[in-house]
Amino acid sequence: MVKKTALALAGTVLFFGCARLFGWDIHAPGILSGNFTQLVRPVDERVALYLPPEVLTHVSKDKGSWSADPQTYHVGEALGPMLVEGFQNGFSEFIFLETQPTPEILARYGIHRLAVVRLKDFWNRVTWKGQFLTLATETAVFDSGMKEIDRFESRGTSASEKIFAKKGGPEVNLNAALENNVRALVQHLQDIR
Amino acid sequence: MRKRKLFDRLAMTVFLLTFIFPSNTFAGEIIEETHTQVIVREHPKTGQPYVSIVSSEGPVPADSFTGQRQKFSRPDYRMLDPKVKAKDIPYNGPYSDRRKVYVLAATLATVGTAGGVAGILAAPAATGAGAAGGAGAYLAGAGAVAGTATAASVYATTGSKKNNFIHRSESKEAKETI
Repeated sequence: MVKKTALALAGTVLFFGCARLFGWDIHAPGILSGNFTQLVRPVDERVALYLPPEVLTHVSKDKGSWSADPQTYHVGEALGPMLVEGFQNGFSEFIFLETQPTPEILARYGIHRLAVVRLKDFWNRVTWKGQFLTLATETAVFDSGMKEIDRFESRGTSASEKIFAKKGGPEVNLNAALENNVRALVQHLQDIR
Repeated sequence: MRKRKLFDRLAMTVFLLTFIFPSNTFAGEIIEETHTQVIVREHPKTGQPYVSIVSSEGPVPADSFTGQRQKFSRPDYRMLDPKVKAKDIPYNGPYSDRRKVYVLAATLATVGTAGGVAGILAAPAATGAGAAGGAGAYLAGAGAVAGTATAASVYATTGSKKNNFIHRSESKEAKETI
């Protein structure tokens, strides 16, 4: 009986593959590509960034189609470091706020612009050809008195084929979608100075 | 004489105000009210330092990126091109967790000796099959991938056409709050 169960399990694994049974656990490298610094030039400004805690822990289990293997995307853990790096590259003086922002804090540290980034949506579409990933964020921009001066939505997309056949393919595709979002976000902030 | 009296009154006023509002309440009060401190942290992936403002109450809080201090090479998105083979682009970043394969192996091993051997032998083969056939497993889906990236945008930039993948970066003013 035990032997039969073991053989059945082994057969199932052989037939479907581990990914089919257990899914893909996708952690992006969380680092920007070399292209980013070529496309985003730093501007001379002091800007602060605040990320609500839920952003850093966001996980998506959207598998993209009913027949696709289960997928778990660790979006927040990669987006946080990428946003920090993007702001480091985008502004001459970058401050990361790890505490709830208040007008007093902004005034105390001479912060004239604060960006608060929230996740809006994460889309995954998987077809027999490949994968289409999009991350949407919404950024609220505050002045030194914590008065909202702007609010905008950024989207980063990466679509490519046959990525599941490559080692690191889904991870890099996720990284690219996040990076494109960070790029749009930083460039938008630079543009509305 | 009148000037002297005026000066004395002014001095007295300043003296009294100093008692009512101690000097540190002007500059220092703000610092105390914010209950924050400035620290320098290192980026978890690049090691580049940045300024961080944290709460000053209690010990310095743990880094928001604790547990992510792994150094990877910067990704090269050419590896997303289906015509480029994986071995052509070096990649040292994370990839789909093989731990689950070992969990399966361990599960099989606990079932029985024969099962354990079969499971351990089967696991790498199955992973390979899963990886190679992964894209083929996704039979459902509407439309070609390239055909979906047509949304209008304010600040849009599309990836290079010489590559067989699409990258889009866009941003627009938000009309509704989240």
